[in-house]
Amino acid sequence: MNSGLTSHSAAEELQELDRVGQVVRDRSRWYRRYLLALGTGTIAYYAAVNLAAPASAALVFAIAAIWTAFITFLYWWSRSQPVMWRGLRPLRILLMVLYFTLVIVSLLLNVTVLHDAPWSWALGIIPALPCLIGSWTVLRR
Amino acid sequence: MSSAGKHPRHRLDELIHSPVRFSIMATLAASEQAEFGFVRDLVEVTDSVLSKQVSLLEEAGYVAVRKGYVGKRPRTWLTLTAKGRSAFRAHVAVLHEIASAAPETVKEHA
Repeated sequence: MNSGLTSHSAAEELQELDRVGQVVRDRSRWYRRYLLALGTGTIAYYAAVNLAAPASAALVFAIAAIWTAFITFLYWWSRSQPVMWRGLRPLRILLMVLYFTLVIVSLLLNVTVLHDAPWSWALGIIPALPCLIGSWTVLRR
Repeated sequence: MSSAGKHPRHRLDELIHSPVRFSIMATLAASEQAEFGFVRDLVEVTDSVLSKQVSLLEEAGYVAVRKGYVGKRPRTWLTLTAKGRSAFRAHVAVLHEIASAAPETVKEHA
């Protein structure tokens, strides 16, 4: 029954609300590590493929296989996390849209205007940027 | 209408008001989704207690339960429904209203 509820017990319930909210936020920090891994992995993948492409097609194939395994692992790892803070939802959607858009942009640049450019290995920085900035944003929340 | 009926506590949701169910709802309100084991540990209850309380919330349409696998491991995911989120928001608003009446309570107890 709630007939005996005092302002004190209401305040206690609100404290519980803050407590669980804080734990959920803390346990959602895995998303920062996820973004860092995706961002640095993307930079490494672009660099490796661009540097390996002139040398050997087999090497590029091997790098692509490693990248696929890495992305699969990241996906599995993110799915195995116990909780995701609701406050990160808008950021998560924005980052994923930006990431995939910038992957397409960087691939287009790589095969068009920046084809054979000496620094095209660094193109991975473009899609990685939202991940790295997002990681920093999650850290500050 | 009696004066007792005007007190904000009459607007509290009886289903959410139980301490365990309140903690479950608070956890899910802060989460996009939460894994059963995480909620159990956070609320500090046994599997069976959580299961029973979640069933009550599910019957009321406040919580959705989704079962799945991560690799070969079975997992149960809990989420608040739109109805549950709305009910919890209203419940918390009433709690704030009651808690903000603290000075009067102190005077009453003085």
